Amino acid sequence: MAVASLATACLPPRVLRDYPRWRIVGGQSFARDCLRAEAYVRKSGKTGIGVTLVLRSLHDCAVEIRRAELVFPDGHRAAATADARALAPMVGRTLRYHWLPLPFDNDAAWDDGQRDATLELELAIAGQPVVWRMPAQHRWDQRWNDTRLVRR
Amino acid sequence: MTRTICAIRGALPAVLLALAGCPSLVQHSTRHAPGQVDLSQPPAREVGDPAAYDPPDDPGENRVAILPGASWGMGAGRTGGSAGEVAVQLRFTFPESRDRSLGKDEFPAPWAAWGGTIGWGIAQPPLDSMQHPSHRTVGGPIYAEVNRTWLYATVGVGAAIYPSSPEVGPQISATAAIYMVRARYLPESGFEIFGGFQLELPTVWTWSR
Repeated sequence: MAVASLATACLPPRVLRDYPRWRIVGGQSFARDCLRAEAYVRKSGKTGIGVTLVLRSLHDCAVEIRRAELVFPDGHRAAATADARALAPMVGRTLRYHWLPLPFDNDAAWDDGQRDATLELELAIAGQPVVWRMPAQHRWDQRWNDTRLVRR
Repeated sequence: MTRTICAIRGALPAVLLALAGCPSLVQHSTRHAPGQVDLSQPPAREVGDPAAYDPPDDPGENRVAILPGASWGMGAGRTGGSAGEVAVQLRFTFPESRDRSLGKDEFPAPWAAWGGTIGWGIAQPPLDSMQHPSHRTVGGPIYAEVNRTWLYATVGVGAAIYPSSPEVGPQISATAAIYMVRARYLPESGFEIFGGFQLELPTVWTWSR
């Protein structure tokens, strides 16, 4: 084992490609009436992004997601489907992780140099419409991952 | 001559090894840089951690290599007697094993690749001028080949042409690392065959699939 450890230590690190990633850079938390919410980009790749909405209700709370779009400065919009937006009723004090995929051609967006967009969620809380806007950026912080030092 | 050949044989493997580990010979394009994700499924484990992120999978990458090279071979040339041939060539390859992207300092020797070569036999100096003073240095042909490469071995099939005649004939070649054999048949002057050394300086471009 000692020999193996020494051999591993002497080997050069394996440096692998990293990938660009969309991040929400503002307005990540939201509070209105009976709803407290946060949004996190959990997946980001060629076919779009996937966002987890962390939804907490303070009591029975009728919440709808009427529209969920990633809006680019040139007007192009990537929208979530109706199925992806469907929410079951939130009864009492509820914590729910809602998966919200936003499919679009992210390769084309990257190649076109589109690095900024806004994640817009039009909600209805107890029937009252409200728009939750979150600026997002497509960043590539590191081009390579050193797998000897950084294990994912 | 023997000493020169020994010097070449000694130096070329070292040069080849040095090139194989030279990261600047691989150019990674940023085109199509995002990774592969499956949006149909939520993250495997969701606990509301703000820092959690599912890294994308490797989409693999496209590669193209351009390999300018030079060769020196000895054998039977156009003059009929023993001769050498000095040639320069340009080879392109399109490797097929693309499912995994290269690491930063990794040089891709392709498991399998199709490619093409264009080359020019600059000169065929006679090696038997002592016995046959009439044998002079002549120009070599221009040639083009389709190649199949496996790691450091390549075979090629194509055609050679002597523009001055003009005379055209089939050509085949095989290389393994720095060793090279090239043969051709010309209708008027007959067979030519050379064995020797070839050195290529590869540059590889990669971009995400």
